[in-house]
Amino acid sequence: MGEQVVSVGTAITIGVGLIIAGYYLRYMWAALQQSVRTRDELDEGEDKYHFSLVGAVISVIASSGAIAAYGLGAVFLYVGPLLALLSAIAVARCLYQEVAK
Amino acid sequence: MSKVALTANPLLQPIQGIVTEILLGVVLLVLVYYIKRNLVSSTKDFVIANRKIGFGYGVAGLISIWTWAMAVMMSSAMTYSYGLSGLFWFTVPNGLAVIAVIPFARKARSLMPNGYTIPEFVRARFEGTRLAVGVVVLGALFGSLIEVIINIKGTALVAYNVFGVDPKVAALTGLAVVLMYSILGGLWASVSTSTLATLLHSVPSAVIVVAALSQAGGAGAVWGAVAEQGQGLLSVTRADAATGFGITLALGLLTATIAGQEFWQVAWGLKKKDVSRTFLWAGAWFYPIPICLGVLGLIGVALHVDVNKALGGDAAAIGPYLISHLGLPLWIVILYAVVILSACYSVIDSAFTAISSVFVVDIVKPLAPSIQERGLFLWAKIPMAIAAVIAVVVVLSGVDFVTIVLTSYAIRTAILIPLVLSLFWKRMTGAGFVWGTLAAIAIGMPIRSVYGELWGSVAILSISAVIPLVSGLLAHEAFDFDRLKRVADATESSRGATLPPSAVRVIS
Repeated sequence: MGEQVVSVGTAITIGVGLIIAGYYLRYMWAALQQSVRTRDELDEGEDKYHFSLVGAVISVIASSGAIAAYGLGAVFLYVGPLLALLSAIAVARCLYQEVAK
Repeated sequence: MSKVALTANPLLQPIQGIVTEILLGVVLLVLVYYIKRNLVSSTKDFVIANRKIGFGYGVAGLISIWTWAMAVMMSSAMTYSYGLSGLFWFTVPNGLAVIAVIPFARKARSLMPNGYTIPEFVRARFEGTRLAVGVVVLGALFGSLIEVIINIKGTALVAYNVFGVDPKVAALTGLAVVLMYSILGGLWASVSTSTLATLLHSVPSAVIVVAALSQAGGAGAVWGAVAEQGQGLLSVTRADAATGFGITLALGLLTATIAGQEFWQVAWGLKKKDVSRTFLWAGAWFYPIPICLGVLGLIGVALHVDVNKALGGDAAAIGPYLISHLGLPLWIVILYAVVILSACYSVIDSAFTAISSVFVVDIVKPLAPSIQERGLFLWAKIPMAIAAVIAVVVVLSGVDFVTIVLTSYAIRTAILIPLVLSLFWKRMTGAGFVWGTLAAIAIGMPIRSVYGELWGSVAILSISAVIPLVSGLLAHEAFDFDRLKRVADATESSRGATLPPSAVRVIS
């Protein structure tokens, strides 16, 4: 592995990260253009989201579990980077949802 | 682990730090210029994004607004200091603090759909109680100012520790960059640049941590070296992390979000249907960033980095120190600097926007109710420049800004429960709000200075709860919440933001 890439694991993370970043930027741009197109439309929706409490409980348990997992073995130290990549995917998905509607 | 040598990267030069700061600013400026041309043409666009922030931008924006430079560095620092218990007590309350805003944001948005700021809500809720508004305005302005100062210091810290840039030059450069794009786009600029920043916090963090693990000898070597040291470093149940900082931090974080104008402005800036789910997703997907960067703290433990000799006594420097001393390629070091700088920039631009909206809605508009749109738009930008100048003076003079921190902390903690009661309890009175807040500060702050932060916070919260409750129960008044719906939009120059009389009725 060349010095600049550090290791195979780093190279794989860079590759996956670049793909995620590409999608993220694509949906970010699309959502921005959607905001420009709809800037004069009336906001007539209502906040009817009912999963806040369940979602809060799940996210607290999941994050606590991820941190505790670091203590289980060396391989679990990669849970953090994996979650960081998933975070970008989740936000890209939110941006996509904004455009899809 | 003894084979890993920690030496300063000889390729790092101060000019690289300055260029990184400016280049990041230029990228954000290009984005904001597009936004300014297409989305920002009025005061309402500038201070509240015309209430058109969508789900994706809302989630990404909130994640980055909440990812302070210190959050990036402290997740590593707390892991380095307390092991996984430190990471647990730093991370879990952080995300929960964002999610905890949901009921309040939802209520505020439904009660007062045309709202902009916390002081504006307090003014409308307790009509005529000027002291309450004054206290809340002061708290909002100081709170935002302190965010600017702390994050500009974060910029200086990373530029100095990684590249050796003069901290004052780094602070000035960062502040000038953020001020430039914030003045162009206001809340739209803040949310859109924060959306880009969220990408910069997540993907690069994964690359940096995987590379750092490899460079430190691999995950197995790091984990084994930490496990060898025992002391519960790989457990999340160490009590000293909770008592040392965890509980106090959790209280402080809840206060910062629930009573923070930066979050209320997003709640009022989002599309109505997206308010709850945006805060939930933002809190949930904020978690991975500190969880990922916490691994750097474990690497610091594994390599036996000495906090006094290597970090100058400041554990917060563990991340920048490791990245610049592990022998990682230059581009990874610069990538790490970009992660922290983007965190600094997104918090500062959000604080600038909060200062702007409070200034316009709660100072300019009440003083000049018939001010024209053009004048109001100009006044929306001026306080950002004033805040930047104050921050520069504080940073350059090296003056101790503890007083500003304490004032901001005291007011935000003291208004937390009165604010919550104002939203949900119709018998909450203006007198209860004012005296509860003032008594909590007057009694709680001396307790804090004598018995420490935890007992001080408990005292402030208790006093600020008891006095409004007693006052409300004795007053026999009930506020008609429906009247808040009729509060006019404050940036529409032709109308004021006051309630019609008789918003309060006497309970027989």
